[in-house]
Amino acid sequence: MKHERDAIRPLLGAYADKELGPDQARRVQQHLETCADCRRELDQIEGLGKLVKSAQRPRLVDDYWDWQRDRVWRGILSADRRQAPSRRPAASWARLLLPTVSAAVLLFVVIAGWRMLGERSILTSKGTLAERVLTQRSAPAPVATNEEGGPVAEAKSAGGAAAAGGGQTQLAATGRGTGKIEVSYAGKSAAGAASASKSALAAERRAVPQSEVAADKLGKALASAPQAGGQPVGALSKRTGRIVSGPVLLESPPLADADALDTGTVLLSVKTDSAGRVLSAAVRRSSGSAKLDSVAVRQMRQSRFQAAVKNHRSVPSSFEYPFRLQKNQVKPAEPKQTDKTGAVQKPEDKQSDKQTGSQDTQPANNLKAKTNK
Amino acid sequence: MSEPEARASDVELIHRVQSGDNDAFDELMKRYAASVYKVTYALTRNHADADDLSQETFIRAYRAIARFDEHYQFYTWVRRIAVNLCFNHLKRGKKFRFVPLPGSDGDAESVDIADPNPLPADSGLRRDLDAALVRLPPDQRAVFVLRVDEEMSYDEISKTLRIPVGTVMSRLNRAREKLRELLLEYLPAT
Repeated sequence: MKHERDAIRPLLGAYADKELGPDQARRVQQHLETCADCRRELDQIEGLGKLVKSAQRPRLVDDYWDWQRDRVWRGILSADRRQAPSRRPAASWARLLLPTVSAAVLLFVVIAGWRMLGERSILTSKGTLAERVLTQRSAPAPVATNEEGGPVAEAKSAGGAAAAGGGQTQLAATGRGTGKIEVSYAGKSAAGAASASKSALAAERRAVPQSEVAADKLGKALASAPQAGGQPVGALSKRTGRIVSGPVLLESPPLADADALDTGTVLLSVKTDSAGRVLSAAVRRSSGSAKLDSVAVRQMRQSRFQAAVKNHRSVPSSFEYPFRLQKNQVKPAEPKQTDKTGAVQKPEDKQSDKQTGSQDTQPANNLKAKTNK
Repeated sequence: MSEPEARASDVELIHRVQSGDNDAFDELMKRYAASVYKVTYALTRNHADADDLSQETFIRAYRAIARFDEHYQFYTWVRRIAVNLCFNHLKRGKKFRFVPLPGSDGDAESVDIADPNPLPADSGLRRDLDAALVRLPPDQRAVFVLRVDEEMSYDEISKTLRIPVGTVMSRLNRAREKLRELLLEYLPAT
């Protein structure tokens, strides 16, 4: 009996899956009539299958699939998207070199600009979201992204500076007490912008034959969409001379049902990994409305950041992210940043610059220079 | 999906994509995005990876569509891409992710990224299930998920993962044995 059971047990799974031949199936069946242990094991195997099937999968926001398709098209249209290093050995060299070279270029630009414009100089950028997305894929360090105009970076500000553009959330997590950070988030305009972006992408994908996709085309496609904006990317640490930056929100799905929400402010605690993916989003201070809290968390969870950078490397970070819902628009209040990367927390930066001005409606291709006091 | 009409329609869309009509590929994505996400989530057990890998699956599919073999259904083909991407991803060592341990409450206010609206009645089960599946080695997890979630035959699994049918059986047995231990409280006792 025991020998028979040892022989039958490995067949129970295949029996449950109806993958046995008729002879073996009959043998298992006969054994089951007399062996309670094997019957129990078979019940558990079948129960396991039912259990797995009954477990819920994540609920996704209504627009998730549209949003995903847009990102697929961006990936397809980008000739410079990431490749597996094993298949393109040169790419790994490029990955190592690009951040370094770009950081050196940025450093040079910052120093040159500083000298030319006096110590109040600021670099401005007309870089678009598309350019940032593209360059981010080729170079891990966000600092390397806005080569055309350079990031908004105040040489005196060691903490980092942020500017935000129309419809696209921008966030730079800098050290506590460092320069004031502009963060804007406009749910409605994000939704509008997303559709503008979508139509630009749709037009682009229609126009581009499969084999002729190129990075500049994506740039053009997205540059024509008004949502891209803001580029709080990097700043030079006065003390260490290193280029640091906080995480920047790159993508966020359109906000659904903003009209149905209560107004209020919810402070979120967000953690991102070194790829800028949101690992967790939790309510740190409730708005008082469970619905708004839940929407804010859901929105953050579906968002994608450009990772914080420390010493030219993308690093995980934790920060607080305030959402404010006002007149059917979700906007973050003035943020309280508690970046834990250490990248930008410099106590001596407390006197650093402030950046002011409402920017939620500025289109990407119309960004103006922000001057610091 | 399996009716001849729907299959013909997929093939028609594929022909259109091959001749440069990208809207046809958009339509294919609309049809199969949820299924692809389902399999990538089943294999990775977290939304962030499932999201990334689903996206990558379609990018790869688009790039390879000129070589699409019409003997296959589109979903079968695209699922194979998804499974291989996930499998490689798991083997690369990204398998160690934070998964709440069974019974731990954690921060009462924190919300699991993969669980936007946790339902008290079900969240415990899913968390435990995710935690249990994450403990399986990638090769066992892949076989188990393809059999149980995707209801693939041993032969299909064998072809998808390029392993012998006997190996499918043995990995499945090991996976089930381990999962029965980990999820005993949810399984029939008698």
